[in-house]
Amino acid sequence: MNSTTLKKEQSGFKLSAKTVKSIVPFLGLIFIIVFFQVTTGGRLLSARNLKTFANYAFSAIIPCCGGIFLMSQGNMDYSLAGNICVSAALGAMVSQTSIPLAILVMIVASLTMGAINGTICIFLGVNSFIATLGASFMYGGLASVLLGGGSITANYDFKNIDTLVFKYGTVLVVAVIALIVFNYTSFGKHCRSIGARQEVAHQAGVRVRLERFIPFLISGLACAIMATFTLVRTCNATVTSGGNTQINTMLGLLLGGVPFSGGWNSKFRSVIIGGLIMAVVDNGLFLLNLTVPTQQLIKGFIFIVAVAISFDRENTAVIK
Amino acid sequence: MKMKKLLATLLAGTMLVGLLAACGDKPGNETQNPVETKDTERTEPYKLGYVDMSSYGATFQAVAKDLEDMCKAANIELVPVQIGGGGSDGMATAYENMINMGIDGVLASSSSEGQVRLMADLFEENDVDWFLVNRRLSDPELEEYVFSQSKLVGNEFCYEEDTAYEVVKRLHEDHGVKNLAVIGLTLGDAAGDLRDKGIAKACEEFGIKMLTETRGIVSASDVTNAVEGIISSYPEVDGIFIVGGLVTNGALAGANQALVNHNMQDKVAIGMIDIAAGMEEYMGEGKPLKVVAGGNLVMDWVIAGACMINNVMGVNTDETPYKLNTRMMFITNPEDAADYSVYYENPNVPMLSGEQWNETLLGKDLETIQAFIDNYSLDYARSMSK
Amino acid sequence: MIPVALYLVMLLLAPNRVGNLDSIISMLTLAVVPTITAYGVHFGFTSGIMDFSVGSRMTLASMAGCIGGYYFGPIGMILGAVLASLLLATVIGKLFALLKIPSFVISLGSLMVFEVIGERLNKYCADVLPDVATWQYFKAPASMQFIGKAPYNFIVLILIAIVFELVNTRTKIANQARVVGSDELIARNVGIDPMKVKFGTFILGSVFLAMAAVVSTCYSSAAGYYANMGSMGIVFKPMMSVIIGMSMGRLVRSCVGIFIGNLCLSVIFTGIIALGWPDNLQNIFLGLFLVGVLGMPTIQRYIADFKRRSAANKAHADAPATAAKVQ
Repeated sequence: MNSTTLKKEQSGFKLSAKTVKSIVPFLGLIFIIVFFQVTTGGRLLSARNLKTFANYAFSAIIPCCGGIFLMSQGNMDYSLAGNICVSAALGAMVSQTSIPLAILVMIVASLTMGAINGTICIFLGVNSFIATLGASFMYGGLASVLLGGGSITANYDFKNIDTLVFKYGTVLVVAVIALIVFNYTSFGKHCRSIGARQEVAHQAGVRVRLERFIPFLISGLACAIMATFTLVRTCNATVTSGGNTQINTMLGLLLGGVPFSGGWNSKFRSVIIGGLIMAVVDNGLFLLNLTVPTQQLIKGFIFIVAVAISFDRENTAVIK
Repeated sequence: MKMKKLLATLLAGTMLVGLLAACGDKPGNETQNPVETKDTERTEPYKLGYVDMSSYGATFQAVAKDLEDMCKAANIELVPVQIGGGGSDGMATAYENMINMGIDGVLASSSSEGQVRLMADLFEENDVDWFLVNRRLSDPELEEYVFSQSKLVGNEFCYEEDTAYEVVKRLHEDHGVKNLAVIGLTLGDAAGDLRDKGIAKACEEFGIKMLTETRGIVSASDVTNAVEGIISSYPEVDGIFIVGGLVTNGALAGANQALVNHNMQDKVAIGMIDIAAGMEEYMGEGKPLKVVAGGNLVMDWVIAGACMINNVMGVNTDETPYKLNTRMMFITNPEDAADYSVYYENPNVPMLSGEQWNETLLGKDLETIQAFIDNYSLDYARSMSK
Repeated sequence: MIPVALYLVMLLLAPNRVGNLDSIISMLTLAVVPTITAYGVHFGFTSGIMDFSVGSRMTLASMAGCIGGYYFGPIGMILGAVLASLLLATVIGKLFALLKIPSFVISLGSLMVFEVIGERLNKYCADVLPDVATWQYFKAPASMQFIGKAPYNFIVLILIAIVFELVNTRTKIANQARVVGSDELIARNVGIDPMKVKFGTFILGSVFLAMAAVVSTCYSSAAGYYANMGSMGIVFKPMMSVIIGMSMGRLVRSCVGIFIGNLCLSVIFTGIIALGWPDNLQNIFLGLFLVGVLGMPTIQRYIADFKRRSAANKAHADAPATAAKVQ
């Protein structure tokens, strides 16, 4: 593949180390699946749980699909939850008139918020974490204004979409599209080259500003899908909709092995591995039916240890 | 490379130890073995699930303790499932997981009214009995839908609007409050809307001026900040209503401290919904806390639990689905406040013993149950725990 | 200038609400705790660390302070908080230096663990030391509560600000933190060990965080525990003020800049209460304010560019005309 040759040229490190590195995240995932499969007495991978797992997988993988483009450039979006919440609130309002219209509204709203993030970050030159942190305050405030501090009930017909085919189907379709865009288009490659060395990418003729802007839109689009999912799942938009999506997304990508600084080491498989690890951990802890503090304690350990195992130190110049 | 391998092995080891250590941390009040398979014949006890919010504080721990005692007395297996936040989605996932665990019935609480219809469908689909806890359905269409469900056993709620109204009324009539500021600690709680309505109604009726409203507070010092801001911007403030003190640990202490800092402890009267640990310290002569409405939460769950157990026992089944309503207790002096914490919302002291549950609620008809709610008082609690 | 301008706007909108001395003192008071917290966040932040665990560490430090204060009085409180804070910072710093993974993950994982420890500690103390803790929170020792009040809180703040300024301008570690933060590769080339520096910033910051914990606990007389990652939110406002302070770096000293940043936030907060607006709006304003302050230089540059370009265009447009005339 083209990117590997490029990568070799760029960093020129040993192949054996690379193979080891690429296997480690898989091992982590397998270890976690086996661990929970055993401790839950086989309930994790049971047909019954497949239905519940769909929800975990959906909300873990979809935002990661949007996030990989940003993260590969060394940027991040801390406003995911606020974006989802505003979008879901607007969608819930409109859904009483028409569901397709509601979905359209959510897409437009989320894309707009993505564009705002992109504008602040790229055109006003504010660091992406700080820009989106500020934005997350704005969206959170806006959402609670829209929701009046409470919740808005959406059209119950949303429930009809809540099927396994929809959930697994959407995950599959979104993941495949993201994979193709990320691995096989010039845009996807530019994302990584911008992450590796923005100046070099610029010299090579990449329209850096535009291509740094687009991932914010992609991240916004993922939020629109998540907002739709929220309404499908709960027929309800509340101020807690969206939850800790941004944190989970960043953790998921890091668990999958994407370095914070982006660059050529950002691999699409991280989305799937990281997303699945997040989903399995959440679902598994729930199935074990532990108390919330205990769940939190275990999660804290897992995150640190799993990233410690999978993080690629050799190819990361700066660890922030 | 060797170093790294060593490190990785070391980490894996730590991880395992960490996991095991954490597993051992499991508190004793959980079901003995939630991993049981349910494919064997129906000789097992009835499994009753509920969302256990113990991580939110002592009140919920008291609820957990009472439900556990009660179920033990009736030979029913209680399946608590804990969630940490997550709103409606977290709740929905919790119910799906409970169904995966093979529950037969559920004490169903909801994070908002809009969620109830989906819950109804879910339980109907999976053939699970359910009791709607602490949720008054304000939408008549929704109410009709929910009450037409065959699996619904009953619905129990507290008139939040009336409670808020009553607190403001007491602040006004007994303590001369004319300028009220509201601090709402709950975010995204539909009960909060009803409480707001009650406050608005009382303000209008008694000509109280509503100065300002602050919400979405996280820490004790946030409350101090809010009160600080209120006092400086509105020196005429003579009443503060803290709506929902359960959510923020130390909220009352924080509010009190701002008053102390401004020497306004005896000039401002505080009213509160939901109790706070140690509230007796802020009550009495020259102290700000005047009236606290609390106590429906434990009662809500206890009544719901008793009704579900009765349903399993075949009691009141021809009257389902039925409605019951609880009321809040009003606490106005430090002695009651202290006793309240001891007898009512204390995870270490159960509200009643298993035997007493059998005598008072289990197997009783609806009138007796409603009478129990209506007559429940601190004096009763004192006498029962003698 | 900005807080004064903001204050004037508020004064214009609600003259009888914010136009008194009490109100001004209150705004200043509100800025004290976040300013000290921000001093604690500052060193880590300048060296490029993203630390979400600040809130959970402060909570634990507060708790230790309350226990220390109960047994040994004021000195015990400060010592308890500082020791606890140092210990926690060492744990995180060591983990970071040892594992070499993003601080985001370390701090988040630690936060999860620390919150649970805080909760357990609170429950345990409520059981065995009912004088120190209720089920929900720890009580600040009565003898120390004056620290939270004006004017003592301002005295404490000024003392801490002076120490911060000295540390920030006179010590090697603060300088190195800045170098590491601006370009770690350069830092490495000039012989600085970035990991060592980052570890140092954790330790250094933790002393300020401990002081913030003490003042905060005395101010509200209570320190409650957090669950479900609720303590994460504590760091954001101080972080904002650090960013604002840094963006004003050329105009004023960092310690003042950070205080000004916090003052802006507290003026917005009080102003919204004073106007009787729903405080949902508060977050919208905060976000807008942050973006505004940070985007301002770029916007100014755009405007300048635009002006220059339109002037150039004008000159260009005029040029052919004059050329034609000459012909």
